[in-house]
Amino acid sequence: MIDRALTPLLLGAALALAAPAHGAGEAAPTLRFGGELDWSLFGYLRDTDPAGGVPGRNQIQVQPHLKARYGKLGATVEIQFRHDFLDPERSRILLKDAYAQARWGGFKIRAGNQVIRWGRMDMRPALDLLTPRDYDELWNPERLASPALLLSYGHPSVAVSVAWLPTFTPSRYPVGDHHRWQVLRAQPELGVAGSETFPIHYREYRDPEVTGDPPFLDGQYGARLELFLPRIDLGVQGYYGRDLLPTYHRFEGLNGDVMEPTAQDLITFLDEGVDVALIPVFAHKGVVGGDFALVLGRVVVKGEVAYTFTPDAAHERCDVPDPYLQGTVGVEWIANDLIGTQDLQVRFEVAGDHELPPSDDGVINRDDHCDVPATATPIVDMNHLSVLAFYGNVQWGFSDHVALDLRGFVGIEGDYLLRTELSYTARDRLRLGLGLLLLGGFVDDRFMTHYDRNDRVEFSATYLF
Amino acid sequence: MRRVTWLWGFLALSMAWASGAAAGDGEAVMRSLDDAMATDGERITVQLSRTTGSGVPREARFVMSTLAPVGGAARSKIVFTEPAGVAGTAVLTVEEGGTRSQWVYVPEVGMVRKLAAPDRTEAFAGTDFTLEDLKLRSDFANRSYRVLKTESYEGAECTVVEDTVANEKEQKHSGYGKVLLWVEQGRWLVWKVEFYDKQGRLEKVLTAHDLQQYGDRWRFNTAKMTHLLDGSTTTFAGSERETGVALSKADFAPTVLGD
Repeated sequence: MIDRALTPLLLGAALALAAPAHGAGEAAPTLRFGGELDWSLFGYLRDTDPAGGVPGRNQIQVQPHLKARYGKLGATVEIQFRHDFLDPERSRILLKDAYAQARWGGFKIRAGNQVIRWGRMDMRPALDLLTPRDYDELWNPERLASPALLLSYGHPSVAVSVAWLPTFTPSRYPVGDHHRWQVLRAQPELGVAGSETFPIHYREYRDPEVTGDPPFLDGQYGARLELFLPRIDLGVQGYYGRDLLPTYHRFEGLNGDVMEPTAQDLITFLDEGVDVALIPVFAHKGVVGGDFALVLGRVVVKGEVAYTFTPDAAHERCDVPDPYLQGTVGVEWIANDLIGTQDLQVRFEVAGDHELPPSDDGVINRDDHCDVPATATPIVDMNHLSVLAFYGNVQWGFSDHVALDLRGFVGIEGDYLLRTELSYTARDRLRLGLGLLLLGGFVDDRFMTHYDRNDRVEFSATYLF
Repeated sequence: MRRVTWLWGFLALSMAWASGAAAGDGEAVMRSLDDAMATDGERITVQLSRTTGSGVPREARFVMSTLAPVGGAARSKIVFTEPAGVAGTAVLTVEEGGTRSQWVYVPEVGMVRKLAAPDRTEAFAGTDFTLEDLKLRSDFANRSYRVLKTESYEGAECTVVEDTVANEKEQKHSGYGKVLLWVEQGRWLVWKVEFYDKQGRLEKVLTAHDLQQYGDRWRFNTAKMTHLLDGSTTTFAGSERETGVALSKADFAPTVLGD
């Protein structure tokens, strides 16, 4: 029996081997090798991390790719080699892309390990549901390729795409104590039982639970229809699959029952705290949505909205999220030669997240306190970090060599992040960057507050080959 | 990435084929030229090079595919292959009914972005070409075309056509006071273009070189733009030209830009 995850890979290999005769008028075979070599250094502004995080970063990364094209056939392989001298656990060899594709007229089939990016927005793209991320840098996750089969038909003004990911590949996020972006840091530190509080110790992080559904629905499915018109592009999309980040974390007490504690359990908790294991749960969901990009003079106005269906519109179940509506709208302005040869790109987006129909429990997305112990602060749901957030990005090219990139976001609840980088590019191949990252919360106990010791200066040297 | 659009202008210089049409006035000359620039599928690799009085030459390389049938929409796709910093970036442009639509595929984010209409006076990819220089078809609604004279240029008998703005709106958006084109009728080739600024000074001169025949069609494979005011020169050198390529509209869909 063939593992379903291998199906797209095998199809990709078959496509790559099925080389037809080189047709008249088709491009000659090409083989392109390229990639980048990158050295990154981080120095944290607050060098004392009470949680025991690594003192900085000293990382070498090589990411070569090979792209072959032969008429309407193509294949791409990209591999990432990374070594972190300060945190060897981050060192890895990662298969980024490994897919083959073929086109016949407007039809295209692409099979293999690939990234499928749908939607239009830079911040919280509500329709970009098929691609898992690596949250090694929580604020700037890296997209991960996963086994998939993509079929599409493209006409100049209409495109239809269907995607199938035979297995569920969740996003990755750091859980090691030494990692500066360890997600458990944002979880509540104090549990509550009656008038007593007790410390919570997160001792274990277990394998995810993804069970409970018929096997044939265990993959991910997406369909997208797009219209490309002179002044406006429109898209509608449907998705069935799972949350790529945990829908919620189930608590399991290691030194007592956290849900229905006995008197002895409570004594133990008050004496030594409660030791818990976290079990990430990835729930199924269905999503429908749409997006647009409208040209208005020199700016592009764009947006996307997605409604997530779940079976718990009545807000009665703990193991199923409540339905919600997410949307982002923004503008993009690109001005070349604004002052002399200086270029400017400005992007601004606003993202909202609302339970629909709304409940009165004050917690987005699920009934609270029925599957986890009562806690002094809300349990963080990484899928719903802000009800309303603002994102901005300014890229200012002073010349062909020197550029400034400024980006950041502010959540209405008080989270903020600001990142700026000054870069110098020599001979179009060597890029030197000097950056500053500042983040935190305007109020206590916000998600970013737990990472405010990650303010840092960055240096990078990247050679493109 | 900086200033990426497309290259109709070079195409305009490098594409032409034998035609029996004759023209007596400027507009008729330009209409015949537009017809001669039509194509059912072409592909060319272009080496772009800009040199200034001082400094290191700036270079880029891209593959351009075009589909511009007579009476239909004109479509162009440029895929950059060098330098490494922009390799894989692809720009799609569609001109139809006086409207230009553009999309760009940005490899860094793996996403196709719709582009707003740029300022026509912007430089193309940091070269001496502006977007206004890089158009395929004449604009009879907003420009006036007048035959000034006939003269020999590089051994070819050329009609010199004066291209000027026809209304206030065009006056506002155009970067030039007037443009002169040296057009060889018969083979319908543009040998030379002079660009004058709004003060009447000769600002840039575009010349075509390396004329070759592909079947029944004639092509210039090199175009050189000299900026007389700042002393810089940009050269587009074409190679690996293919005519009669079996391109369809589907090859110019935004969804295949990243392929």
